[in-house]
Amino acid sequence: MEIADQCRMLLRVGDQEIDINEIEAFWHRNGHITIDFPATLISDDFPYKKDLFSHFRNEKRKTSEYLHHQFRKKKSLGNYFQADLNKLIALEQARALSIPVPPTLVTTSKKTLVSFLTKYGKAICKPISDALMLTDIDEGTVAYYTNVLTDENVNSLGDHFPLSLFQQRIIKKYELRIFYLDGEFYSMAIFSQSDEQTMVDFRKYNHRKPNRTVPYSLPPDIQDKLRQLMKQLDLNIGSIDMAVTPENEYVFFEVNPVGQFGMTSFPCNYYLEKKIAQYLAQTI
Amino acid sequence: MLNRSVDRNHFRLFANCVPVKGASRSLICDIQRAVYHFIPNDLFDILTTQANMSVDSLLAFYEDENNSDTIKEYFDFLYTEEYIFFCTADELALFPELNLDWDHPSAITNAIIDINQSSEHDFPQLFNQLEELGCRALQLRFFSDISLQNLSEIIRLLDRSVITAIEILLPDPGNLRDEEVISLITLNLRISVICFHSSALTRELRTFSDLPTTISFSTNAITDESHCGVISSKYFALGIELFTEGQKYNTCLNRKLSVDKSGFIKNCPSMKATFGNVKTTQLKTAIAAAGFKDPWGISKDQIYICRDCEFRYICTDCRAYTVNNGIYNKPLKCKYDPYSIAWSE
Ligand code: SF4
Repeated sequence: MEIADQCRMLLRVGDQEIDINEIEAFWHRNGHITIDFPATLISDDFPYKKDLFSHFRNEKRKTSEYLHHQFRKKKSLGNYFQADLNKLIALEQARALSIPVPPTLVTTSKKTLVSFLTKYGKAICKPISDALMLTDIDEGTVAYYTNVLTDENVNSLGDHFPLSLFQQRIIKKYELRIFYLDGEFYSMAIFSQSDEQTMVDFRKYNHRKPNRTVPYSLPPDIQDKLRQLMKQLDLNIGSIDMAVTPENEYVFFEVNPVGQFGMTSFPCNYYLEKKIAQYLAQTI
Repeated sequence: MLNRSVDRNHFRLFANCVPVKGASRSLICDIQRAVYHFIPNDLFDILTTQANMSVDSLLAFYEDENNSDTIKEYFDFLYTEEYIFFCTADELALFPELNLDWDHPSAITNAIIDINQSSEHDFPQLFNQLEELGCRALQLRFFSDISLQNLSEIIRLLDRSVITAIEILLPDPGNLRDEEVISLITLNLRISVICFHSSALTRELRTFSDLPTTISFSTNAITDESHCGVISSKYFALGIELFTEGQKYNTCLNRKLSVDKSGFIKNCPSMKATFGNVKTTQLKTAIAAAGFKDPWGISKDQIYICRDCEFRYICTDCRAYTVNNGIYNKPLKCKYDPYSIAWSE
């Protein structure tokens, strides 16, 4: 990499050399570019070893950031710098655009939680950061994503607990999984059968049937607001989670900047992989 | 009996439950759950031409004809099976129909290579060319004996490949030990089906649950390409790919390429038209030749009789063996009559 009279950047991938100036389009789907460092021999008793390695990591991180800065000047999809989007910031921005969001509480105190529950009824609990996956060969895998908070859960809590995020539990007529790509929305409704208003003979309902997943046309006013939100978050691609309530309110939960599109594209036959390819292939 | 809340007076089919009308009855094709259900043609009409009427007005409409109990039963059935949901009039427009377009990035999605004792195929060459065309599924049909040793060598050529499924038909070498078959398959997990024909015994071997392969033995002798083109409800497949492809394209030949036992490049080994021999013609040249892609576009909707059949988008097809050899005629080896809804022997 040379930033001088002439900017030159060469990437070596395996035995292939790529001149960054020759890259026309870039898609950051997920992950990082790892930069190989020549093996550094430091003897084990070198006292500053830990700090030195941490310094090396930062050197690589900054270099990688600069590469992404270059990529973003090209025809590009995804935003490396927003890949680790803060859920709380996204919620706040959505709210500012008057997109309904569930009442949300972040706390370590049982007392505060109990008064939140008194005010809002049932709540769910979910990570503030990413989903948690605990893996152990013998114990198996435990995943923590969104859970409904039961009375039992609350009773078992001490006065204080690790930092946790709670949200009012939203009654969903159907859930929406919305894929956003360069200003367009590709939405899917999921009939998760949580709608108590539907008066059915539930005895006949077979729970082994997978939830219905069908294409959905997002109303234009909701589209406008979400488009503004994505603009503010500096994202041209992403997967948005919402729900429609029995009162026809569109409630925003979160946006995943590195979201998968297959789960929406395949059932709805949207051919998003083709749309993405076309976007990247358009000449700038 | 069914209850609806009063404000939900309309109904909508879930978009992935698509009704298909036949001459004498219809199907609801549940693409998501891969099942189909027969329905009478008058229910098809309700679900399509009368889909915008409210449930009450539909009931009133059929009241006059003393049919409202039947209509109630229909709705009960549709709702219980989760083919429809109830909604308000405003919501109808929020649920568009499923887009039934089909496409694929590969020039060729599937290929057949036939092999007998006099074949002189250059497999490394052929596989390279298929790779370039993006082929995803490959069928190798051995009409004469081949040792597992020689077969392994061919399969090894596909250790790294865009091909995701390999089907192999070969004569049963006899006295096969299970472990021999298993080690062949574990050589390349792309092998999805292996069928030993001309076998002395019929046995199914699917005991190895961690292997994705179907292993079967058949006493039928498959000695040439004519053992193909059979239409049976056994081969019906309900999935979004076939269903959408079948709307505009041929469900056997679209994006298919075949190399027959003598090396001739064809749409299907049983068809007459050839587009050169692999010895002298590149596969991609053959595909680009005039006429090669013509049968790709013969959809069931253009085929006599099939176009009146309720199975047309879940059925396979055959253009090699057709009634009176007509290219737009029904497959010869189909025993179904959509007018009398009967399968003949
Ligand atoms: S009539 Fe045509 S579509 Fe119907 S089962 Fe026979 S081959 Fe298939």
